[in-house]
Amino acid sequence: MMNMVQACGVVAQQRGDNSILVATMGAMFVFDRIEGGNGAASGVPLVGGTAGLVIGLGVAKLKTLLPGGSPPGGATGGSRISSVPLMGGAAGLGLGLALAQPQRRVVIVDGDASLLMELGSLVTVAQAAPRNLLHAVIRNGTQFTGLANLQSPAAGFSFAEAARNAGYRHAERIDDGAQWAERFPALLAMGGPVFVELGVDPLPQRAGEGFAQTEMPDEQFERMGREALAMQRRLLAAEAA
Amino acid sequence: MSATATSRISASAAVAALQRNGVDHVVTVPDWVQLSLHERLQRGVPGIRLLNTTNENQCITVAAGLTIGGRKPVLVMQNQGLYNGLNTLRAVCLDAHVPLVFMVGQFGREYANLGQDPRQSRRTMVRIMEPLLEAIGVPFVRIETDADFDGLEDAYARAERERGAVVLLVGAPMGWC
Repeated sequence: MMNMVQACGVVAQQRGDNSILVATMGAMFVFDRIEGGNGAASGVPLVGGTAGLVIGLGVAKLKTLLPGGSPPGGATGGSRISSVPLMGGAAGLGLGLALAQPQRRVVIVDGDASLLMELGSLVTVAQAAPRNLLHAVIRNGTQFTGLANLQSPAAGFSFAEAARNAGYRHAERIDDGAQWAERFPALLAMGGPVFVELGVDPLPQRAGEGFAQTEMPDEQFERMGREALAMQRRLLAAEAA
Repeated sequence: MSATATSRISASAAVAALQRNGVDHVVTVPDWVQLSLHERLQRGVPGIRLLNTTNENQCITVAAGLTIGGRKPVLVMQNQGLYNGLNTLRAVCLDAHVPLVFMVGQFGREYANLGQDPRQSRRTMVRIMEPLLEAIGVPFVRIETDADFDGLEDAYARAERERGAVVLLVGAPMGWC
């Protein structure tokens, strides 16, 4: 199994400037950290295992402290939008963007519990058949990953098989981070809709006895609107140019 | 004997209004009240792509993606569908301020209530719709005759200006003409 830095880092480093990224909350937090404040994920090592996770996040943090670095999060540059707080919304958002912007590659990084909430979206996507859509799902088997790691009800369920049956043009499962990095360019270039189920280790659980839950910041409820507006302006400007 | 109604709303007027306003996508889970519009769209209307989704939450997210990407969708669903999509409407239109226009059929409205106040309908799904929209701060317009489709232009302008949702409540079965 790969770790979250590998799963998201491959997308961040290889998707290209012209692409659009739609992410659910769990992936959003990792993208925020590895892309830093300037949206650049380069230089973050994608190494497997728990050690690799710690190293990847450590280097990401170090980058923010270097000259020219900036705090993580918030700098999506109009090319990334987070479906938050809205479990199940990523596939539909990505589909609409892919249909509206057929000249751009659209990558969805979905969550397993999120996709389960709108499993019918696999059929909706397949019926609309956007050629420019790569739909990845982080299969880590947990909800509130890294916090309480509650089990998501997906044991024995194959997302890749479901996507194939729904009518995606290609679907596969990848568990190895190096293989994901190697396969990504071909999957992105393939005529879609393409689906990939990523076998990912859950983040280490932080909550336990004595743990105090902090308030959800306003940012969590406002960022999707900011990102939507920034993306809309960027895409309209590009069309006008 | 079942009641029938002479419709004062037509699919042709609805299609004409969509075309007049430059709508390029209809994102939908079909609605009994707007059946004739669905049939017309399914046969093909130049410049309008019909996108069927498997539930109304997806209608809202797909339409949001289209809007952010520079297209001009309309959402077509029935009142039950809007109830189903309430949390997605909250996220997309109330919190994220994506402007969207909905055409929502008042499914279940008894014919005895046509021409009367839908808040007096004996059917819950009809009666609670307007109070619900008021409670969540979503403006709405009643569509009871073809002439009411003139309000579509204002609906888009208001959705864009206020960065939110506007709902057209289609109050009676659309005629098949």
